[in-house]
This record gives sequence, structure tokens and C-alpha cells, in this order.
Amino acid sequence: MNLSPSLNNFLEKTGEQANFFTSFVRNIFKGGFEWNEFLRQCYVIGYKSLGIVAVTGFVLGFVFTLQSLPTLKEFGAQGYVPSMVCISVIREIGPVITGLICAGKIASSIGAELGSMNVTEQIDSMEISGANPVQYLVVTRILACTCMIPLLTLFADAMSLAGGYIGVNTSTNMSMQLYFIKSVQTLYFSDFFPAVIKTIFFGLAIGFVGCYKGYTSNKGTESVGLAANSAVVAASVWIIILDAIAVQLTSVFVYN
Amino acid sequence: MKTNLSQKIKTGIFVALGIGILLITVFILGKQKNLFNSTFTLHANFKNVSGLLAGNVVRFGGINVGTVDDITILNDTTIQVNLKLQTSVKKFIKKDAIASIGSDGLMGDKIIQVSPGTVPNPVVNDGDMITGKDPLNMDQVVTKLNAIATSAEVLTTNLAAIVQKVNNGQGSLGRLLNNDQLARNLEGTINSTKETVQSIKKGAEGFSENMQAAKSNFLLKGYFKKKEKQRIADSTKKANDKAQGVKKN
Repeated sequence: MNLSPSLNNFLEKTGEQANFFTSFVRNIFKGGFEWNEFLRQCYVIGYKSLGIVAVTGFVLGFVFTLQSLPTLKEFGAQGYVPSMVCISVIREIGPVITGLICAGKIASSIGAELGSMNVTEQIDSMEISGANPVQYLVVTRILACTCMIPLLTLFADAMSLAGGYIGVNTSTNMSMQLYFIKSVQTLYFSDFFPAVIKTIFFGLAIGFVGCYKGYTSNKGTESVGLAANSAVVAASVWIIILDAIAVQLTSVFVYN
Repeated sequence: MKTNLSQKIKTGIFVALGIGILLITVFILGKQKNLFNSTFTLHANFKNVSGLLAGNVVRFGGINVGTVDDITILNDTTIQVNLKLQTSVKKFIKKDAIASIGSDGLMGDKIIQVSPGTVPNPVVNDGDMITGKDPLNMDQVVTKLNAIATSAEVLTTNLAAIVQKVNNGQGSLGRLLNNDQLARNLEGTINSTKETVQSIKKGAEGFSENMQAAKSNFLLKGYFKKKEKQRIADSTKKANDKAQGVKKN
């Protein structure tokens, strides 16, 4: 192939990723699914990330409410703050911020874990000893991410509604029931489901990028750090790109 | 690495809570959109729905009781709107109910308000047609207001011209307001009227003396005496009548 080296390199990486993805998909259905490891990954990825996601979501709703209150108050529209916060958090901010936080926490840890296993030749020895490293390490992690990120996003949304409630109550006195009714009254299924579906793909991207970067890292010591770093960067960029695609798709298929 | 029991339980709680939030949200949104309530349908025809959309709220007595299900064009002047209402309000809506299109606040979404209708009429059935009242067309209102503004302009111009003339003392009204001549004339008129009245008074006194003299004149004495007698007879008769009336009572 006589292409320029950078293009050649790009195409090689793309092919490698496609190859990695097909081997991941093939290994899901291969039989002998590692349920125990999957559950452990669900615990690590889901339960262990709950704290950071909940705090982020809470602060997000609180801050967002406080920031929009003065502006809307000028128009006498502070009654619209709950529904505005609710819609923007559920449709956009909740999924994206949760995705980015999880990219930082989960993609880096997966990249570093698999990268260090690669460096210390644990993956090779698994292969030699007859275990299937893709099935044991990759499939479980990617699937756990795909299942847990949507749930984490739901928790973040719920927490940011709670944060918004407290934010509104710093300046005015609004009962919890009224706040809740005002928040959800302008919310439709077309706001909620695209956001949930979007987060499934965010989870897939986080797990896939983390596993790919760790699994295909070089055999040097510094490559562990490199794998973790590039996993976070790539996963974050992927989340932004997927979000842009999701917005286009929802506006084409849902809002017309 | 094996998962121990507590890790499994924690993961289970986490997953159950997450799915619980998902289900609760689905249920709340579905309830809001009448997915899980029993509903019935009403139709209403309009000439113009002024931007009403499927999914807009239907209100009955100010309460959200349903949504606009579907909007279809029947022919070139008729738009049919299908309303999906909660069955719980069906017993309050009579056959002569009126659906009118309004808006939620000055800038808000379009809504449909359903009036209850009047009592002797029977309650609506599923799929009934109720009267649709066309919304106020903003364009027409603006056109009318424009015409009003034009005539108001003409009116104020004319008024300004009149006031200008009056201020300058032109015309009879202007002279009345601006000229002292009239007031002075009026004063003179009143003075001469006073003198006239005084001379009339003197004349009347003279006439009264003449009358007195005439009464004592022998030529007219008989006439006056007769008149006096008549007067006395009348008054005695009246007194008698009154006395009898008192007795009867």
C-alpha cells in the first residue's frame, strides 16, 4: 500500500478497532459467559461509581437552578425554572455529564487495568493456558458498562432533580409536590427515551474504548499510563460525537 | 477474583433502584399522557386552529383533563380535532358543550377549553361531535384596530384645528371665550331689565288702585256683591258636605 504514513496508520488503527469489536461481539454469543466476572464488573462499575455520579448530579441540578433563577426572575418566569432544569438535565446534561464522569473514572481504570495486565503478560498467559481473555476480560467489562451507565444516568437525573428542589428553595418557598409536578409536566416520552437510549451507547463507547486501549497497549511500563490517558480522552470525544449524532437522529425521527 | 455476597447484594440493590427509577418515570409520564387512564374521544370542527398541535392540553373548568389526539383536514374550510379526555369528566360534559381554542398565558402553548354545556341536554357519548368555537383571529383584530387608529387620527387632527381656532378667537365660540364685549353687553342688558321691571311694578300698583275705585263705584257694585254672595254660599255648602262626610265615618 502506497498511502501516506499517517493515513496508513489511521486506517490500520480503524481496522484494528473494527477487528476488536467483531471479536467482542463474537465472544458474547460464544457460550460460557462469565457471569461471575460480569457481576463483579457491574459492582465495580455501577455501585462503586454511584457516589461520584450522585454528587455530580446533585450539584448539577443545584447549580443549574441557581444560575438560571436570576435571569428568569427578570422576566417573572421563575415558575418555569423546575421544568427547564428537568428537561435540560434529562435530555442533555445528565447523560453527557454522567458519561464524561464515567469516562474519567471507568474508562481510565479499565485502560490501566488491562494495560498493566498486558504489560505483565497476564493476558498472554491466559491465552496460553486456554482461557479466553477476550471473553473473560473484555466482554464482561463492555457489557457491564453498557448496562450500568444508563442506570447511573438515571440516578444522576433523580439526584439533580433533588438538587434543583433545594436550589429553588434557597430563594422561594416551593413545596416538593409542586416542584415535582412542575418539573415533569412538560416532560414527554420523546424527551426521556432518546436520552436513555443515548446513554446505552455512551456506556458501550466507554467500555469499548477502555478495553481497546488497555488490551492493545504496548509492552512498556509507560504504556499503562498512556493507555489510561488515551482511553479517557478517546471515550470523552466519543461521548461528545455520539451526543451530536443522537441529537440529529432525535430531531429527525422524534420531533417531526 | 470472585464476587462475595455483599458485593452481589449491593449490585442488586443498585440495579433494582435504577430500574425502579426507570419504571416510575415511565409510569409518571404515561399517566400524564393518559396512557394508563381510561379515556373517551370527542370531535370538534374548526375553521382555523391557529397553531394547535396534537398533544396539546384540553381543559375543563381550568383543569387538565386530556390531550389533543389528532388534527385532520376534512375539507377546505373544516379542520377536525379529536380530543382524548379522561372518562372521569364524561358525566359533566353535555351534548351542547363548546370547545374553544385559547392559549396558556400570553406566550404559552395553545389549549382547548371545553365548556360543560347546559343542564337539560344529555351527557355526551364516546365519539360525539361537540361545537367548536373558532379562535379570535389576530390578523382580523389588527386590521380593525388599524382602521380605528386611522379614524382616530382624522378626529384628533380636526379637533386640534378647532381648538386652534377657538384659541385665536375665531368663530362665535372663540369670540365668546376670548372677547369681553359680550359680557359687558350682557351686563348692560341686565341693568335695563331691572329698570323695566321696576316701572312694571309701579304700573301694577296704579292698576290695583283703579280696581279698588271700580269696586266702590255704584255701577259695578251689584256685580261685586253678587259675586261675594256666591262665594259665601259655596263655602257653606262645602262645609256642610264635609260635616256629613265626618258623620258617616
